[in-house]
Parts: sequence; structure tokens; C-alpha cells
Amino acid sequence: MAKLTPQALLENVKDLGTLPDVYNRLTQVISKPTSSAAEIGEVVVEDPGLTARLLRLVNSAFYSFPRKIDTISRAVVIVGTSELRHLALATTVISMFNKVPKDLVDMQSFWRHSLSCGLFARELAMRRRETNTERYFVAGLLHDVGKLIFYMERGESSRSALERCKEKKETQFRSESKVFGFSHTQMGSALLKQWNLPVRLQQAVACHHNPLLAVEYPVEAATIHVADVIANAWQMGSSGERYVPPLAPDAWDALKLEPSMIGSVISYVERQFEETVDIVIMGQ
Amino acid sequence: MYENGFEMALIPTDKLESGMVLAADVNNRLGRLMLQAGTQIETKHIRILKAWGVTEVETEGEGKGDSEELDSAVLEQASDEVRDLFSHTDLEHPAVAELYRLKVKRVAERREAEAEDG
Repeated sequence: MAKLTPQALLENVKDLGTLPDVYNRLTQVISKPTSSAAEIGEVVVEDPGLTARLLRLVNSAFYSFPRKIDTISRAVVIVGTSELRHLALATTVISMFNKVPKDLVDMQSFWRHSLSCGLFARELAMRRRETNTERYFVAGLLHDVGKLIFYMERGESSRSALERCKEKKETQFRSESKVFGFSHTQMGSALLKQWNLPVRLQQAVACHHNPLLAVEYPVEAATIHVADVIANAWQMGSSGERYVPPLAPDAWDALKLEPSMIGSVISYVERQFEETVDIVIMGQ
Repeated sequence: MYENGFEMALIPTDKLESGMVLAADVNNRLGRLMLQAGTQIETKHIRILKAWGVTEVETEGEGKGDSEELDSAVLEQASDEVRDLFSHTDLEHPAVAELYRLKVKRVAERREAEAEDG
């Protein structure tokens, strides 16, 4: 029997081959340097659901802007085009995964954990005074999608892996490696590659448990890694992991943050969490 | 005052002490960021804040008396529970230790709140 690969698993996955049309059209219009905020707005407005979610998000505690933003073209001007594209990706991806077996994972819980990781990653990046922090939000949100592929395509083996976790008191990514030969990190990054998402995003997902392997984008990987550690400790939802994954000291050092900041990072995320859940997860 | 489980206080600048941690960014009157949330206050910061006319800042409770207010049995139970959650981590690492401490405190606070309601 041929060794299982992430690509082989993806071959059979229906409905996940490409990202939704509106996102691809948005990417196209944004890639043209002459596109105006109004033109970009026009593409989004064709999808009322996406428009509503984006407007709610830009007006929420996610940003805490002093004035209300009423139109997408205004949001483009204030938030930025590539930032808006990241948010559009975040709010559309969730609706793509609707065939995951309920007995393997609670999807609400899965996305709550993923979203919390996204918010932690973004908050950590903001503490380091990074710009365009929305990409961290997306990376955090997508970091565990590989697990969903496992749950959908290899339900029985996924169940075995989860049993292993309980019996051997192992982390889930370790059990996955034993059962599948690779973990949700490689599975997830293969999916992101199929979607033609930036290498930066692929690497952040591929290396979030082994951040030292991220050659080109060490800071991205380190940020998602640390965000995931905090998210698992704070247990705002679960994607299947029952333990806090080990923290790689080099990844922590790469972020140049003080341990005393962790409390306030958590505080800021908690302030935004339920509202963001309501907009991004419930508003589907 | 508790917000999301973290004790926060509005402290007048002349009552600030080294070691306190800022709970919110401090901006000067021009709107420029002076000190970031999460900064641990040192003597030099207090001098700067006074020089810029900042009258009060938001700080986070740093365990001085917070954990003592929690029942020690509840804290111990919380500790045991959380230890299993953290069993794959190195509790000696300062960031992990801090995360562990915060989690134990949160679990203990929740237990106490549940006990009071129940």
C-alpha cells in the first residue's frame, strides 16, 4: 500500500478544491494597481453575507475605531486593501467546512479555539508593533484546518489517533504522526498551498508546532506557535488537543516579549472574543 | 474592580510602585504612546509619567494579595487540574510559568464563583 501523503488525502476532498469565487475576484481586483476602493467595494458588495460580516467586523471591538464605517469602500480606505482581503478570507473559510462528522469534533468548539488562536496571534503581533496584523489573525484561524481534513477523510483513523491521545497521554499532533505518518500541520499547509495562499501563511501553519523549521518566515511561525500555546491553555474551545503543547523557547525568544505581558494579552483578547465569534462564526 | 478575571485598578501616579504592571497603554496629551500595556513599572517610568503630567494609570493586580483572597483548598484543586493540562510543557520556562499561574488563578476564581452560586 502506498504511503499516505497530504496531497493524496486532498484529492478526494470535494468542495474544498478552491476558495469561493468572491474571494478570487477580490484577489484579482486588488492585484490591479489601478483599482480604486470603490471598485474593490463593488466586488464585495455582490456577496451580501460577506459584506455584512466585514462591516460588522470593522465596526467591532476587533478594531475599536472611533467612528462608524458604513461602506466597504470606506473600510478599504481605513483598514487597507490587503487587510480587508485577509478578513474576507477569514470570514469565508468557515462556511466551507460543513461536512465534518459531528461525533469527531464539535465544530463550534473547533472554530472557537481557532478564532482565539487568531486573536492571540494578532495581539502578540500588535505588541511587537507589526503592521498588517490581519495576516496573523488569518494564520491563527487556519492553523488547525488540517485536522478537519483528517476528520472528514479518515474518520476511523482520526478516532484511533484520539484514543491514542487518551491512552498514552500524548499530544494530538504526536498521535497523528504515528497514525497517519504526518500531522495536521503538513495537512493544513497542503490545503493552503492548493488554495494558492501565500507561502508565508503556508509556513506559519506548517511549522506551528515546530517553529524552528520555518526557514523563510520564522516570526510568523513563532507567533502562531506561541498563540496556540496560550489558546490551548486558556481553553476557549477545542480542536481536539487535550494538552497545552510544549513551548519552543527559541520561538518565545524570537518574539522578544516579556512573560508579564501575557496577562494583558489574554485580557485584550477576551474583550474581543465573544463579539468576534458572533460575527465570524455565528454570522454564517 | 475585576475585568475578565484580572484585577485592574486606576492608580494615581504618585501612588505607583515599581513592579506594578500597566493594564492599558499610556498616551501623553498629544496622543503619542508613552508606555505600552504590559510594561512593568520602574522608577524611571514614574518620573517620566509625572514629568508629562499623567495623573493616573490603569494597572493590573500582580498577585499581591489576589491569590491570598482565594481559598487555599480551591487553589490546590485548581493547581492539580491545571498541572495535567500543562503536563507536556516545561513549567520552569518563565513564560510557561506565568501562563500556568494565570490559568490556576482563573480556574480557582471560577470554582469559587460556582461554589457561591451553587
